[in-house]
Amino acid sequence: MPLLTEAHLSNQHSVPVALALTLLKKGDWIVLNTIKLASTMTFSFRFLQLQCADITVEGSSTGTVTEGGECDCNAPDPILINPSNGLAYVAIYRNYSVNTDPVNLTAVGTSVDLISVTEAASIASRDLTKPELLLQETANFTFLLVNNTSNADLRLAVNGEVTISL
Amino acid sequence: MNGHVTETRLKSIINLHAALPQADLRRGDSIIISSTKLALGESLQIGWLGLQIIKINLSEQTPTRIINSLGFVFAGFYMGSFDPLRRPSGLPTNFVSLSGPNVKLMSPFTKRSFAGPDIVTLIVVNNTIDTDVEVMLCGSMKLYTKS
Repeated sequence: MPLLTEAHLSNQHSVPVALALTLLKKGDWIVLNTIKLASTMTFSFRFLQLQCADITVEGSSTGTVTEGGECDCNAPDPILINPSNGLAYVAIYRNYSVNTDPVNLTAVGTSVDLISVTEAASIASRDLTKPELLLQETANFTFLLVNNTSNADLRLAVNGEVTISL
Repeated sequence: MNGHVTETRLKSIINLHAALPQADLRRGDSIIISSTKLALGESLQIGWLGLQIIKINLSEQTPTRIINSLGFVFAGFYMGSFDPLRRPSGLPTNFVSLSGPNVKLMSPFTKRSFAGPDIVTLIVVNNTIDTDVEVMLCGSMKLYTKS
């Protein structure tokens, strides 16, 4: 294993993919980060966590309690727009054009690098035992956070990192 | 620059992140992304700075700029006595500037450093008086502390 040099270190940039807890409405999505890669750069993605802190499903009453002490809320299940993913997911898209619905697109490295949270009050993480995603091409890579339900608002937080080598 | 890095040297270098996911930036408004106070002997190197305009309404009229030499939106570094309570004025020392829905990167191949003592502030500015936009910014800096 080669030793680390000052030159090597100054050519490595740790770029954040982060979002503090934010309400994302049903079916909505936001751009977390766009990495513009030039021909000599290497994009290395290994770590990202997605937290779903809270879910509000349309039509659910908010915590009405009966005389017997049981919850009277007959909360409907969230309806998934893309059934192969969870409630919300973070995915990377190549040359994403803003305002394009991510449902119509194929993510880069879908099986390994699509981080999906399947239930409320949980955290999904990229599997660190999987090899890192390495990309070396002139393109824009966009991280999108998507609310994959048609009837639920979610409060989500993201914490991750990409390493760019020049 | 080509010497090997010791553990002590590695510990003295701190990675600082600057992240603004998709956010509204109203006309004439600005957001402070980070502010770094450098002590004597410390330095800050800009590693990565990317700016994206995600939404801008250019159909009704051409936006009127506040600073004519910059784009509709810019992100830049101000040094010293930047007053966060006032609207930014003048040119930032280093910046990336955009005038349409696109992504732009400050060239990471050029090394840009600030030496302490000083305060370095990164802000993103809507440089128009009549157009609201949605922007994204991501950046990374290296703080070289006294080792």
